[in-house]
Amino acid sequence: MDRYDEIGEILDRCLDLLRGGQVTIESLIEKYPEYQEALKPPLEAAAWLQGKALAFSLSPGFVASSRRRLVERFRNREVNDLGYTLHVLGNPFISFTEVRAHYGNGVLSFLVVVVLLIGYRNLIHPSLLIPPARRYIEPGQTGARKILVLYLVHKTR
Amino acid sequence: VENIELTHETSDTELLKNAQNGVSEAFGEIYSRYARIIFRFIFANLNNRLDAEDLTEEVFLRAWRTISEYRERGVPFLAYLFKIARNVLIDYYRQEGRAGGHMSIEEKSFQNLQPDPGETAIANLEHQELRKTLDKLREDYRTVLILRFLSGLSPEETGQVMGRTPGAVRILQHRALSALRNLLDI
Repeated sequence: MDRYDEIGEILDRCLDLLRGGQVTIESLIEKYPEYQEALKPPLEAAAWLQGKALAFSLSPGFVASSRRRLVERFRNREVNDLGYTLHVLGNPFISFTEVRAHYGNGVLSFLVVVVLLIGYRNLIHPSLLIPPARRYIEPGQTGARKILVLYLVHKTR
Repeated sequence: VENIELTHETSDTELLKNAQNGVSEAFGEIYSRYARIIFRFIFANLNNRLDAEDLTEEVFLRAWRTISEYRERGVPFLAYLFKIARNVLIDYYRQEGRAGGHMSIEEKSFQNLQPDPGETAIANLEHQELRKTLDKLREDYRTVLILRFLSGLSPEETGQVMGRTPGAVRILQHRALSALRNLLDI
């Protein structure tokens, strides 16, 4: 263990005692006189920080009321998701970040799969193609084959 | 599934397992255990208490939505929550920036202090003073101090969140406190 590790550990021990409120900085430094210079400044800063930590308390009753509210929302998740999905479908300008924040990252994979499936089955239907590509595509051909044929037609033109 | 008995002694692992099976009360218990820790982290990075409370709820909402993807063997749950909290803060700042709502600490402290009487005003002053001082520190110094002294995490837990060993956290904490002491007039 090098000196930095040692000081780090001693400081941590002192901080635990300081948090307990039964010791003073002076008494801690007396306990480790050889580390006085290394311990005094951080202990003073820690005492200052601890004094300010009270300002970071949650409003009284917040956790209990917030918990009730959240659990209720979790229970209604399915209903909310349906409502949200309708909201997303009705709003073409909604950002993807917002959608992802609602559904989680799984939505990206899901959308990719849906788009691929739609494209695979429908988008490259022979009736939608302009000649001469249409004559190379036959009904019933797989999507991958259609894409290959289209690519070759495009390349040869 | 909602009839599973949950007590304060139920382990986090068990709660997580139940939450992953859709038991919302199990996640409610997780919320009770970690809400204060997450709130303090968020509030240390914000000036507005009400926003911090809203964002704390948002962290747990996002955690609930992605809980099925969480695997305990990968990242400890606390670190997972802090990762979400960081993202929530980033989104919040982005939104504030987009809406042109970004204000300096001085502007916000003035705004926050006006409607608050007595003790709340003093707490706000303390909060603003701490924020201003911590903002002068390096990012990793600030983070280690927030996690250790405001969120109240152990060196081991802080290490999980920051991706460092407990020993490295203790050294970082020593350096951060020394740097903080240089900024203080005490």
